[in-house]
Amino acid sequence: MRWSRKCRLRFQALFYRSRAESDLDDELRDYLDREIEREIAAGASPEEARRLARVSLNGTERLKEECRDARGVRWLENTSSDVRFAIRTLRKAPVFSVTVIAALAFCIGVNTAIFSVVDTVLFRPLSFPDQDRLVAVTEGVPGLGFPVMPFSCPDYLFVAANSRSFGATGTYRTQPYEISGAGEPRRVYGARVTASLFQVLGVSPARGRTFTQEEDEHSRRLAVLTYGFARSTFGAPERALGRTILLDRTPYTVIGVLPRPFSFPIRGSRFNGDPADVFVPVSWSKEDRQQNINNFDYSMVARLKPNVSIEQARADVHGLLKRIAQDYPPKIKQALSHMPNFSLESQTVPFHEEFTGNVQRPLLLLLAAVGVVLLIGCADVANLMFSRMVGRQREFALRTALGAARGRLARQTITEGLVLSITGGALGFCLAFWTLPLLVRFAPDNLPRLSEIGLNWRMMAFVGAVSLATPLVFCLGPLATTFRSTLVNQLRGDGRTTTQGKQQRLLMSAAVVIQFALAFLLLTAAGLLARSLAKASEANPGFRPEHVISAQITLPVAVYKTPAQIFGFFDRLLSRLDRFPGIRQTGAISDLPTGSTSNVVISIEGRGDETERVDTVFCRGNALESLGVSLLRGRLLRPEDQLGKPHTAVISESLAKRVWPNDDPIARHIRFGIAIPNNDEPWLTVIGVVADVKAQLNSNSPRLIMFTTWQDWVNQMYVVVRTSGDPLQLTNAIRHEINGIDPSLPVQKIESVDQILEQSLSAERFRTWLLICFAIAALLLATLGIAGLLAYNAAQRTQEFGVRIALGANRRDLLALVFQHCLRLSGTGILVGVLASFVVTRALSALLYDTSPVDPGTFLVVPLILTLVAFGAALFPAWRVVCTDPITVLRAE
Amino acid sequence: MKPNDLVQGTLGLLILRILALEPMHGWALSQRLKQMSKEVLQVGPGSLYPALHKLEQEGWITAEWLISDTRRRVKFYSLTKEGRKQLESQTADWKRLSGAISAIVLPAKG
Repeated sequence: MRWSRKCRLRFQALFYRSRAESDLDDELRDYLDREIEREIAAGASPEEARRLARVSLNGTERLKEECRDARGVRWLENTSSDVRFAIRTLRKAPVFSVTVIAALAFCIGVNTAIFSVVDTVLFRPLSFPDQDRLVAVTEGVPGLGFPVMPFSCPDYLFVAANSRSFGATGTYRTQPYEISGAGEPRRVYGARVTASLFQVLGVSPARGRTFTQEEDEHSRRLAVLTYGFARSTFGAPERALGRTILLDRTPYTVIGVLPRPFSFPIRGSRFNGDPADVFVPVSWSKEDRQQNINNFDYSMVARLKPNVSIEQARADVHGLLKRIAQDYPPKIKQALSHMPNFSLESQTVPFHEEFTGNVQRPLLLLLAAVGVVLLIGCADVANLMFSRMVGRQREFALRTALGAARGRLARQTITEGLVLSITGGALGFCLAFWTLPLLVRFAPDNLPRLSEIGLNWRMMAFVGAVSLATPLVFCLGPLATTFRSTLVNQLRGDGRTTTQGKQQRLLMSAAVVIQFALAFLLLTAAGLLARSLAKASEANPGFRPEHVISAQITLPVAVYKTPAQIFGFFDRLLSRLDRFPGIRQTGAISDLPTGSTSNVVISIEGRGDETERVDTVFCRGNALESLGVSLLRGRLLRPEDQLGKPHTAVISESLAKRVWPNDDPIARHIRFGIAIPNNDEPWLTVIGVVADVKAQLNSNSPRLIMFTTWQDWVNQMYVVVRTSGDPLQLTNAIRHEINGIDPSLPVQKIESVDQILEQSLSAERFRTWLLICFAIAALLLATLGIAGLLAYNAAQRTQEFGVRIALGANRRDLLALVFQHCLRLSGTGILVGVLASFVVTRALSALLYDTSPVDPGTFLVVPLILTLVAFGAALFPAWRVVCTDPITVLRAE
Repeated sequence: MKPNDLVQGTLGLLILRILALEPMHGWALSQRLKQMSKEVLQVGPGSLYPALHKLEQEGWITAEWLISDTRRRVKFYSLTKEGRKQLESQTADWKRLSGAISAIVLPAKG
């Protein structure tokens, strides 16, 4: 009650000021009248009474002031008048105001947008309860070239059963499923998980339940769906419960639906990084649990016990893995005894490192870039404010002389700054609001937590802090300098101009030099990335991707149970496609060679323990010919090699050089697995050597890759077809042929291999274009900075120039003065930039392909651009010099 | 005696005390103050009105505009509930304080 009345009174006082004033007048008049009456009653004459009454009221104005103060709205009144005054003043200098607001809005806008992306991806905690207690655990065999891998089933079970550091452990493995029985047959990502995974993550279902460990052990066919999937498939999540879906044509009963925001695994994780729609029990067989020690497929996530540090957990798991081999079946134990460099290692990291590792560096680079843009923008605003303040020194001096308190002046100046920065901040926020969806839309697919990116309170706080801090920094500095110079000097002046002190000039020049150096840095970084991207786009992938189309096909294991059935399907499909007009070669491969392929260890005949870790691609039909890999020696794989008489392999040049540096690899023998006596894999004969096929266009590391017709069997393959015309025209024909053999088989992506290669650079393209945008912005802002300073200087010296011209100075000499000044500033900036770049761009080298961090081209072009821009900025002041009319200047004197 | 120094801090309390008797306007208040203090305390409008406005802002007194017999607008102040509480607590404070000051300034006789 009391507070509301108080507010009402203040409100009235503020907005009905004129009424409050007239009330006060009435009240005092009433007092005066009563005093007069009293004096008359006491015997004074009316004249005398009026005089006495007036004296008793002595100093009405002071009284009124005190009453106004008592109303307690003084501060607000002053502020509102300050704001109005500031807006009036700023409107008188539209170019200045618009420039400052635009620079601030841009800097704040892009910083907010990028910051919110980086914050979401790298820093914001996951929505799991106590997520900082979650860790990701991996194992690895560094001796065989696999330092970090997911767990194998027996190793996971051993660690889960014996670790003393974890309150709960869970594991998951994603795989694509064909889903039918609910809507059109289609492909979805599913995850096979232990029942404990949901407890580890601390998630409880929104509807129904999750499965139990017992159900998992008994291989019950149960499924838990994500909220989004349940809604899109069944209309509403509750309608999904109890329904049966077919995963790879095996029926599963839906028993639960997870809460809406739950998305797992996190996209972009090191392993198993595709968010799943369907979760089913992992249901390991007895063989999985005991024998499959070499299938490293299961990502392990665990929750630390209270009071256990991550270091303790790390030591704990490490110790367990050293002991683990004792539990292996005797046959494997005996085999391992032949492997001196077999040793299991492990890594335990905070869970968020599971998915931030790959994107951290590029994102931090972008954050640093926008930070640099912000700095340059700030320097601009500071310089603009500074020159404006110097220009207004006389005004301030005059106002001080007329009795304005310094505090009031400071407040007015800060208000001016605040008006600018709040307007800039608000516009910047709008800019961020508009650009954020664009950023998300063009972001590469592998960016984790893309759907969570949005405006959040952290970002609001960030914007608030930036927009409130700017005026303090930008106004108070120049104001202090203004106050420091003595009043009399300023007032006396020389009548027309006040020149700035040496210190001020140095400060402003330093700001411009720093701007140039920072712009140089950013342009160099953008230039290097752009060059690297251009080189990567033109890089030879090691095969001819044009005119090749690929269709990914996964055959459901429940129906295609044996290798004969699987190969039967693919052979029939290839022979049908071969008959098509416009198709030149056809083949099927287990993985497109660009992208991830399966890693295996091979041993070499006659080399004892020696092993190599190689990427393996299983081929069927004329796959290598369809891809257009370039043959260096021997021959490519042909369909008759599938008969296995003998089993054959084609290896990459790098692999050939590594294993047989001096010999001919043709007709040598290699086989899967480590070199142990009871390895029952058949020997493969090397029949050809091909050029390295790149895993990624922007990778330069030699690729040890092997193409072979021999493998146990795989149910997922890519059909690759080389055509004579536009490959995409055959999309429907291929789809038709596939469904001609198996009508209910959903066909996944059919894409031209060109497109796939193009997409493989999407992350690089995204960050490069962003960086180029920021570099251009930095260039513009730096140009603004130097142009502002030069124009300001020229304006300050107009008089001097006029006098010089009148005294016979050559205009060309004066022009030279302007350009020299420009060159001195930009030259110093560029020099500092070059030195800084040599240091800083080294940090970029991990992101560069085939481009030196001190790439001479970039280091030549960037200074050239900056010098040109600086000269452009000097044109306006130069023009002023040319136009200076000595008569006008002297007359003004 | 020029009592302004003393009155400065306690003017609010005095105003509250007088308004507790009946609502009145500013001039009447100053007269009543003079009369009740036996002409010792004379508070001019320069101190009275700012003090009144301050008390009004605090919400301890409230004002009402009435039309007098002479058809003038007159501002009548009266005590609010809040003000009555304030009066009690300030009176208690005053007793304590004045007692303490007296104990020092007027040493016990004998």
